[in-house]
Amino acid sequence: MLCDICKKNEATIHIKEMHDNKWTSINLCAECAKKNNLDASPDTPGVDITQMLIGLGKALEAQGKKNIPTHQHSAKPENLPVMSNCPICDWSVADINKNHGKLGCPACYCHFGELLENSIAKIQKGTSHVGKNPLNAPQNEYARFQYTLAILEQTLAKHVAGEQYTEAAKVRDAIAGLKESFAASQREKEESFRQAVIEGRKHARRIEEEDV
Amino acid sequence: MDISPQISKLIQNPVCFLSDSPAAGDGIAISSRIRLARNIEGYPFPGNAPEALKKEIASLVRSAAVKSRMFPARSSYFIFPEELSESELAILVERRLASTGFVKNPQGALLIASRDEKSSIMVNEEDQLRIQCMTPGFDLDSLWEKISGIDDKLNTYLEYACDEKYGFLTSCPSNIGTGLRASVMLHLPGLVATGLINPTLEGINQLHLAVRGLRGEGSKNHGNFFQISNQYTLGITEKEAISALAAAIVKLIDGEKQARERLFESNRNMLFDKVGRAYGTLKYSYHLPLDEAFYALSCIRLGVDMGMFNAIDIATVNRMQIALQPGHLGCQIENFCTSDDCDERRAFLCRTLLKSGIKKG
Repeated sequence: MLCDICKKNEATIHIKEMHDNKWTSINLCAECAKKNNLDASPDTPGVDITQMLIGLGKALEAQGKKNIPTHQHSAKPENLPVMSNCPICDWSVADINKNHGKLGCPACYCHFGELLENSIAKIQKGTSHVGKNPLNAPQNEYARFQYTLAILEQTLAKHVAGEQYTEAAKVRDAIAGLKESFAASQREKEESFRQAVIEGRKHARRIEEEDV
Repeated sequence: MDISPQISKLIQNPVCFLSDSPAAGDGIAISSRIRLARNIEGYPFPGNAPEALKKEIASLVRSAAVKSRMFPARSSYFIFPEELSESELAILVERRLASTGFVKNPQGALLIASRDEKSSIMVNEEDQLRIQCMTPGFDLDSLWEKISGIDDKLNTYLEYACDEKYGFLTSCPSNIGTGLRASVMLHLPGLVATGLINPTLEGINQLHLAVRGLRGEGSKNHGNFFQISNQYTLGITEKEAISALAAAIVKLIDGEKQARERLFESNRNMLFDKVGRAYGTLKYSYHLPLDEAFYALSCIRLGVDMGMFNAIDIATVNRMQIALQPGHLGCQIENFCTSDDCDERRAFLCRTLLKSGIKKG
């Protein structure tokens, strides 16, 4: 694949960003990437995601969006709206840029997952956690539940508006199922969390007794 | 100036990260610090939370801190930055209890600190919880044990936002995974004077460690102090990150020792001259800007480390190190110095402290 900017060299860097609810991708050769401050490699320490996103914005601006191939991402399920804002906290790509690469809420890691994955791989040693785990289950369960629910509710509203009642009924059932399974897992989690609290209190009592 | 009761209690004590004992870390590794970034599940990150929600988070963390007995209500500080003046906030930064980012956004923020200031939590900084532990000298392993214990106790009362893939979720992806940042503050005047500092720091960068100034992120080099910290938080365990940092610190301490020896052997007069002039600057100035004072104090610290003074001890140097910074300066010499000029007050303070800190003989 040739570089989108010089159209001469082989593109070795591939970057995606969301624009007007569409995924925009840009493929660059090392030379053009360097010119546009997008030459972060895993060997370059301290690369800032913000800088990369700002750099990408500038590269897109400089080249004019019409020169860059734009396509709807087919990997996303058809009914899920491909949107730039997080459905839970309303954080957008522009907010990430404005806030030096910071995200709005834990669910942003689900929503901007694709966008973040490459950048995270470039600034971190690995792509998955190997350190200590919290006492609660190591899953972003609540954020994922909220995120999926928001997406399904948006789909339901769309079907109702389009009078596609069979589809709407399916989504409604999916929402009910999702809520039920989340409630079940919460009950289980609450029980283990309660146990942990009891343990904590026992420990606190022990300290108290020792103090006495 | 009116000072809040908690701040006036704070400034009565020496800071926890400077040791008055000459043996600690050969005087090169000044202090060690570890912080953990944590957030509570179901709440937005502070940068995207309205003030009311931040207050709710602060109250949750306060309650967990007390209930877990990590920060007992009667023997801990609970400081609300929005109630403090600018110079009181500066005091928190100078004592390394708060970051500059934390005091810039005081709305809904809370600082919880143990009485000895060695463990603390910044609530609603960039992340909802920034738990930190500090100690003088170079001792990352016991700091890790301590902070991990505090983290577990708090986690008993707070459900942390976490993800199977990314570990602890943080506002900035540069902290996800362990959320751990370990750092050691080094005093490297030998490497600076011999011109070896730049290649050394480049080498440090190659090891994926970050180099920062005295006050962490975004701060510049003040008085030959450098903070070295780990950069990676994902794909690496806490212990791996800490031992990689520790290995680099050992080499840096060694390099600084060699540089000091080389200076002493080959350029003794230049060294004595620098230290002597610095002493003159601090003792006889009537107008002393912060950078100049820090540089002079760094030379005096080097002189004390190398046994060049028998009249000044490290406790005096440490005391001056903190007292001449703007926040502490504003609060301490009000009754003695009438000048409004910060630099004149600093000069006055240095003259006074050097007079009182000199040992007999």
